[in-house]
Amino acid sequence: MRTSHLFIRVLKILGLGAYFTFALGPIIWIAMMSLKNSNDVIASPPKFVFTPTLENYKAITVGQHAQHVETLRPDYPKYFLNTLIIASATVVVSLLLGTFAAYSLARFSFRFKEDIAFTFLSFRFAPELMVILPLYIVFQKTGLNDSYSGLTAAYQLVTLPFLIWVLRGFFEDIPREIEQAARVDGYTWWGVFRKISLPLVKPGVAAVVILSFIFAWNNFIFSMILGGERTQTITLGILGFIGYERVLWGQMAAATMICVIPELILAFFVQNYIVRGLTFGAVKG
Amino acid sequence: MADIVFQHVRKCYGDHEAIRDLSLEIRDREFFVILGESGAGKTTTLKMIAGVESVTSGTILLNGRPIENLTPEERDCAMVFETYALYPHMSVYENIAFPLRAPGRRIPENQVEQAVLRVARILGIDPFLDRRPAALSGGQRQRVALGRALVRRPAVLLMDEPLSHLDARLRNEMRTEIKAMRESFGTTIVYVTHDYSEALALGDRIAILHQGSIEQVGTPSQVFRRPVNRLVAESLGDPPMNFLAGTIALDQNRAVFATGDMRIPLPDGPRLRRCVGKEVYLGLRPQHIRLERHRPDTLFSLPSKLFVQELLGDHTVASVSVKDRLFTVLGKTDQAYSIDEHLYVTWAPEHMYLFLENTGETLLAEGD
Amino acid sequence: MTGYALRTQSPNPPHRSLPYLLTLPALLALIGILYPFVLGVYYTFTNYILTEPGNIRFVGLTNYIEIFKTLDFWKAFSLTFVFAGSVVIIELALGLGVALLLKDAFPGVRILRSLLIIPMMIPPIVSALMWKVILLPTDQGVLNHILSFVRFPPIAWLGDSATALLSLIIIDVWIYSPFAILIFLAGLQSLPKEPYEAAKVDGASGWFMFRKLTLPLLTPCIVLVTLFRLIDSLKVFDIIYATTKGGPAGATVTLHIQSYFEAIRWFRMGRGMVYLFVLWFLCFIFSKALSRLWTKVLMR
Repeated sequence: MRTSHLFIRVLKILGLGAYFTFALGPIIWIAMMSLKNSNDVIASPPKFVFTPTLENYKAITVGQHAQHVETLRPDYPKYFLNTLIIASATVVVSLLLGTFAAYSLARFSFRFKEDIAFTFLSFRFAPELMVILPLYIVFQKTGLNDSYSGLTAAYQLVTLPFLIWVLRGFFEDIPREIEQAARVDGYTWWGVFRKISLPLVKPGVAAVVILSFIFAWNNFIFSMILGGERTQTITLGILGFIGYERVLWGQMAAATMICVIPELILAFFVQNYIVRGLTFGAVKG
Repeated sequence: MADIVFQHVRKCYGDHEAIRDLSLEIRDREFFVILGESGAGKTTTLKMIAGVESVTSGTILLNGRPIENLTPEERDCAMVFETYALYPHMSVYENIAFPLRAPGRRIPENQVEQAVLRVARILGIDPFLDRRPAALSGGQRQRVALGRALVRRPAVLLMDEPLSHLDARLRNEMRTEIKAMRESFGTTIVYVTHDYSEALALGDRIAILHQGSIEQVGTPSQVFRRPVNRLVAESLGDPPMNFLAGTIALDQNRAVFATGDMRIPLPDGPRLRRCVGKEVYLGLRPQHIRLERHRPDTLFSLPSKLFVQELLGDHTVASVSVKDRLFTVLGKTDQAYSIDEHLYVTWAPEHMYLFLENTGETLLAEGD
Repeated sequence: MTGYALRTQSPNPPHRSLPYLLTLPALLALIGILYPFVLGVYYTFTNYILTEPGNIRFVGLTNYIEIFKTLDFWKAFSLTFVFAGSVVIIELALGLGVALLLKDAFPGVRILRSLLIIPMMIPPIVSALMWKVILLPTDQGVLNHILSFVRFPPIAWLGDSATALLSLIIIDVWIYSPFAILIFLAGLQSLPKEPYEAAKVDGASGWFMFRKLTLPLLTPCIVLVTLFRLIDSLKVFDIIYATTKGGPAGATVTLHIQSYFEAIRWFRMGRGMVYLFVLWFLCFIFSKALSRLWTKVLMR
């Protein structure tokens, strides 16, 4: 009896080990790649032991490279900044628009309410190009192509439906009687919203803000078609390392790590919020 | 400091009529109790006064002014919710201070502090002022809810079953405290409950609410001794009143209650004479019935058989079958009877009630 | 008036327009998105070529008929489903499996959880590029190198039409199985204890309890994961664009990718929008059906 118990335990650990190797292996490999010099990087068969160097990171940030002449992307910091600006602006705008909409859907009853709610949600499920391609035409005509404001507006499709759906649930979780008590105590709906409803959904808002930021940061297709030279984001920038004649593997790997490291840090510190936001639907029932 | 008048108030939720044609007068400084079972519409009525529920039709007057179109924050009411509805993210102090800090009131902070401390001391919650509601017991939370309502000296205090979630001992304690507090605060209180003993103990006047309409309004003594219909008689009293079906017949030109071959004399009167031939119910409260082993020397008795008897220390509860009904009898005696023993139930004529079968209307009540 | 009554008293009708006012900003955003959508639908009925913007003519159902007649369309159609179906099934199984392994709390669960979500946090296009490196053909790719230790011949993962789709499936599973794992983990952790205790008292085996208790109780999770993963994989784009761009020889062309070619590479906007409209329609019916199933399952 004891041995079969131990056997199962070992199997479980092996299973988990296998999965985590699968999940984290690629990242570790790329991290190693980012630290290899240009010869080691394209070595065949691939090297597991090598002397690390920071020249890739230097190449993409500052534009110096020990061996290679081609340092293709000294604007990489710029891409990082662009992505930061667009993602932040998107989230701020989504918060402003979506919080009120979510509260309204949660608390009031009015005609077309569920239709409106479903329409918001359905945007989450639409193929992006369906909206982006015509939007491209519209942006061309209105000059919003390759602009921060245009992209922020377009990125709402990525963040707003999710934000409204999740925040609506959080608002609905507040017992009605608490808000009623606040009104009887002498506060207008705005006072109740500010002093009672919003504070009570703070954890939900935190979760949603973090996740929305990640979704906006990770987006590629919007920036590819509606963005341009000026507003190029990180996701687009990394593609640039793969050209037709040559691929700058080492620099690409370094770029990947820089793109990914903020998110890894975020993952560690706020994973509670991230998990809560993602599993929101599952445990609601 | 306010009187409230309901004029033909109706409340509908979609097709469901929760309150029909409610007309009521609550006097200034009165402790007014609304009694009814769950779903009767008590909370709805209270919330209509507070402004948290809208009025479908009709008017509510507060000190003569119609308020049904005012928002809750514009009415001078405070409410203690059944679930207490404390603000979970605020301390006890902040919960109680919250109504005073409402923007419209413009009360300086030092006055707020004074008021909060005063109320907290009276209710005995000043040791907990910086705790959160989650860290309090049920009884403590209830006091905080009370404090939050009382701190602003409202014209009207609304209480929605405040004691129903407390255990029995705490409930009795709080009941006494509320009664005592009422004197010192002097507001008009509208109190809602499903517990008839709370209603009788606390209320200056009681309104019995059943499925959205008022059955009777009166002092505790009035509604208990002289219920206006069978429903009211049934809702007041535990164990509830016993009923026996029968008709009004004439026996030697006198009105009697006839059931089977038993005849109980009834007092004379034109009203009873008019109802000859009608189906009626005889009503007797458990505490007004005595059990006798031998046939008593009075016309006000009925034969019965013991079904079950509970000896509860200082009193007994006996179930006896009278004709085809089970009667509950409360007694102080420690006489033990055996099952199926033949006994007689007997009572004094002034404790006899008579109700019409079809409308439930009372034909005879205590003192007749 | 005694007591601390409000000093302002004004008769106020209930704010009937308030809800609309509140949703208005978001509604505007909605309209902002609906407009290009409607425009796109309109384009499906035109012969819009991007390089000749002045020449738009209404052509009715011509685009639809032409496209439905081509083999390429139906190939893309079926590939879309094959990819989506495979990915959903694998992620459900893997998600449930790993969640079951993780369920029993042990020290370090928090660290494991933060490690777990990492693949999901990386931009999909970046992950796909990462995998492109790992899946390099011949001996240069690290995966082939590792496989060579068990006598496997090197495979041209992304370059061989037989394995290209499989490679994409692997990448998608790598990125998104954490989502399934998280959902199932949350579901498993909120399972009630009593039914299991009662079943054990009745002498039920582990497998029996799994089949009759766990799976039915996890139905909401299953529906939720299916809802999101099915729709998202039907409209997958980033992964394919980063690696195969539809190749080799059309082995990985889905409806979404094909629409991109039509519109951006060949400037045939009208035709491109047709692919998109078909894809949108598929996503729409599935999302509606699954949402309805989701609310039904929640009610139980």
